[in-house]
Amino acid sequence: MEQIFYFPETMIWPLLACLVLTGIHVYLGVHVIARKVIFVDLALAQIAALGTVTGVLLGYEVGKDINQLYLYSLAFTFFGAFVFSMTRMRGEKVPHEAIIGIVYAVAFATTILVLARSPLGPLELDRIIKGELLWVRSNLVIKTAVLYSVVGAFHYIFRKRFIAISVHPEKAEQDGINVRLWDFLFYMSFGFVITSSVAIAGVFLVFSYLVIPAVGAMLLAEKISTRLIIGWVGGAIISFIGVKLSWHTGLPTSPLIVCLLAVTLVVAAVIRYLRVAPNWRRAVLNLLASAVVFGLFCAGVLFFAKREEDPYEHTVHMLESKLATDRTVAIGKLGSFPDRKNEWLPLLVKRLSDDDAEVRKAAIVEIADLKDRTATPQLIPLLHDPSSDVRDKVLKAFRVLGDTSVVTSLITSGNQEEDPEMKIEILETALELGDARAIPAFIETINAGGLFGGDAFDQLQRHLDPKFKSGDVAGLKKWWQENRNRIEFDPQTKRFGAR
Amino acid sequence: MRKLFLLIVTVSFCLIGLSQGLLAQKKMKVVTTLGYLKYVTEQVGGDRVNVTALANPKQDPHYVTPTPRMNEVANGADFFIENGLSLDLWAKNVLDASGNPRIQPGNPGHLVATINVPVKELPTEISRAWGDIHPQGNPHVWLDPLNVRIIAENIANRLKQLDPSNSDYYQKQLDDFRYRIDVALYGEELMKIIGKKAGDILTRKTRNDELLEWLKSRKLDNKLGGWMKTSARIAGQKVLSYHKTYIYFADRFGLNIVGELEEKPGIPPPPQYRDAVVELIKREGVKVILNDNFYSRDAADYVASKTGAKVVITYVDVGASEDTQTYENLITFLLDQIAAALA
Repeated sequence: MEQIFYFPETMIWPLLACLVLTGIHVYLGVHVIARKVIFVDLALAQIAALGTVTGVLLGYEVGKDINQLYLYSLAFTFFGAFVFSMTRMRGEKVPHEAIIGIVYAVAFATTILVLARSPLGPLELDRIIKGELLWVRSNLVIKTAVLYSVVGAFHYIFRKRFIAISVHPEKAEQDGINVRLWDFLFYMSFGFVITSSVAIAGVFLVFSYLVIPAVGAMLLAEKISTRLIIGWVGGAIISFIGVKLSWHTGLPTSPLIVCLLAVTLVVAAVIRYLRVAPNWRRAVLNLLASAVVFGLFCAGVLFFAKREEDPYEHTVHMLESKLATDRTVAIGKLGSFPDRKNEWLPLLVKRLSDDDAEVRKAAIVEIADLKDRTATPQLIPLLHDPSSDVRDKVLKAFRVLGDTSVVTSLITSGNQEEDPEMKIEILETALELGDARAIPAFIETINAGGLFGGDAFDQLQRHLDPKFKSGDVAGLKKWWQENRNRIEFDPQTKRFGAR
Repeated sequence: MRKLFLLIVTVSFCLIGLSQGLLAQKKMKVVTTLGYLKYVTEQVGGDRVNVTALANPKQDPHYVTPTPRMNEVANGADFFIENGLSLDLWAKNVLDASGNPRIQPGNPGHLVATINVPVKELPTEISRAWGDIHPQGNPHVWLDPLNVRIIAENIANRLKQLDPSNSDYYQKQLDDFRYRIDVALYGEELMKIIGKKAGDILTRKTRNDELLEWLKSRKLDNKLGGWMKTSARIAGQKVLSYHKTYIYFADRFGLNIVGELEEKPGIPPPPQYRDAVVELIKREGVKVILNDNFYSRDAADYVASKTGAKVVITYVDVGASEDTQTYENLITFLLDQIAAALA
C-alpha cells in the first residue's frame, strides 16, 4: 500500500521533464495530425542530430562546446523548417509526407556518413534514438520549460492563424494569410522544440508524446480544445505512472512510457469502438474474439521457444568449443557432475594438451582439486610447457597430489631449468615430495650465490631438521657432508633429518 | 651513342624500380583490428612488416562499422590479427567480405591475439542466458602490460610460422619489446639486479601478488621503479568507470573500481540503478569517474553534479590522442590522468 503513494525524490526531474514534453507535444501533435505530417518530428530530429555531428566533425567537442553544438543543430533545424515550408504544395500532387520521408532518410544517411569520420561513432546515433531522460538535471528542465512557455505563448497569441493554416490551408490563403510565412514560423518553432526535446528524451519518446496522445484524443473527441485537454491529462497520467513503474520494476524509463502510451491508445480505441458500434453485443463478441486471437499468437510464440540443452551435454560440448574461454568455463563446470566423473575425466585429461595456456592451467587446477593421480603421466610433460604460468600450476598440482612417482622428472627438469626462480620452485617441490636428490641441486644454486642463492638457502632450510641461521651456508654444507648417506624424510613435517 | 646512353639509363632505372618493388613486396602485409595490436605488431615485426589498423582508435572498439576500404585492405593482407573475446566482432564482417582465404579463421594467417591470456570475469554459467556484451569474459585485456607481453609472444610466434626465414629476427624483436615493457613496469635498475629471466620472474611474482613481499624479503623494495612504483599514487584509491574497461588496469596497478555507470551496455539503466550508483559514490567517497572518450558524458556529469566527483575523459587505445601514440605512453597517460584527478 505504501508503495502506491511513494514517489522517489530522485525521479522528480525526469517526471517534470516528461510533463514539459507532454505540454508542448500534445499541442503540436494536434497540428501535426491535422497537417498529415506525422513523421516531420523524426525528420527534424534527425536534421538536428546531423547538425550536432557536423559540429563535432568541424572540431567542437561534445560535453565541452555545448552551446556551439546546440547552435549548429538549431541552425540545421531551421534550415529543415525552411525546406518543409517551401515544399508544401497546393493540391498535394506529391504528398508532403513523401518529402518528409525523403528528408528523414537523407538526413539519417548523412549523419552516418559524418559519424564514420568522427570520434563519436555509432554510439551517438544510439543516443539520439534513446535519449538520456534518466540523467536529466534540474537546470535543463527549468530552461526547457521556460523556452517552451515562450513558444506556447507565441502559438497562443497567433492561435487563429496557426490553426487555420493547419486545418484549412486553402481557406486561410483565401483569407489573405501568407501561408508560406506562417508555415515557416510553424516549422521553425516546431524544430526549435524538437531539438531540445530530443536531447532530453530521444527520438522515439518524443515521437510518441507527439502522436499517441493526439491520436487517442482524436478517437474520443471532435473539438480541438477537448482533444487538447484529453491529450494533456492522459499524457500527464501516463508519464506519472510510467516514471513510477520504471522505478519499481527496474525497467528503462523511456521505452516503458512509450509502451504504456500505446496501451492507453488501445483502450481509447476500444472505448470508441463500443461507443460508435450500432449493436454493442456484437461489438463485445468481436472484441473477445480479437483477444482470443491475440492470446493464441502469444501462446504460439512462447511454445516455439528454444529448448535448453541438458546441462551436462552442454558442458561436454563446450569442452570442444572453438573459443578458449568456453573451454575454460566448461572445465570449471565439470565438478558439478560428480556422478559422471568416469565419463568426463578422459575429456578433462585431453585438455591438458590444449593450444591455449589458460585452458591447460584450468585443467591442471581441476585435476589437482580432484586429487586424482591417474592423470599424473599426462601432467609430467607440462613441466616443459612454454608458459611459465603453466609450469607453476603443475608444480602446485604435484604438491597437492603428493604423487612421488614424479620426482625423477622433477629433478631432471629442475637441473635443466634456466629460470633461477623457477628452478628453485621445481626443486622445492621435489623436496616436499621427499626426494633427497634435490638437496645437492639446491646446494649448487646456493653456491652460485646472487639473489637466488639466498632464496634457495631459505627454501632448503625450511625442509631440514636441524635449524640453520639465515646465511649460515657453511654450517648447512658441513651438515650435509656429514649426514648425506643417512638422510631420512619425515612425511608429517615434510623435513629431512639425519637417521 | 646517345641512344645507347639513354637505353642504359632507362634500363638501370627500371632495375632500381624493380628491385625496390621486390624489396617492398618482401614486407609482410599485416592488418589488425585495433590500434594497440598495430603497435605491438610493429614492435615485434620491425621492418619486416607493414601494419594497418582498421578501427579509428578514438571510436568504441565494440562498435565499428566496416567500410569497403577495410575490405580492400583485408583483401591484400597476409596476416590478420584481432583481439577476440567478442570485442571486435565486426572483424568477422571484414573477413567475410575480404574474399581472402589466407586470413580466414583456422588458417595460419588469422590470429586471435588474446589466446593464452588469463581472461577475467568469465561467465559462471554456461547457458544461452549469457546475453552479455562480454560473453567470453572481459576483453579489455591490453590495459595490463603483463597481458601485452603474452600478446606480443603470440604475434611473434605466428610471424615465425608465417615467415620462418626471419624467425631469429622476430625472436630478437620480441625479446627487445618485452624488455622495454619490463623496464617500463619495474624500472631498469631492478631488471639489471635480477639479471637472467628477470622479466619472467617479476611477471610471475606480480601475477601471484607476491612481488612487494618478495622484494622486501630480498631488501630490493627501494629498487623498484617504473609503473609499478608510480602506480603507488593511485593504489587503493576508489574510482568509478562508465564501462568495465579498466578491470585489468585496476588489478595491475591497485586501483579500486567500485562500480560502473552503465548497468548493461547499450540499454538505459533502470532508475534504481542510477540512484544506487549515486549512493555508492557518496558512501565510498569516490572522487573520480573514468569516462572513455567515446561514451556520452551525460551520465557521468549527472552523477558528478550529485556527488562532487570529478569526470576524467580517458583514451583506451594506442593512437587515440597525442598523448597515447605508443603503448607505453598510453599506460603512462592513464596513470598520470587518474593520479592528477585524485590529487
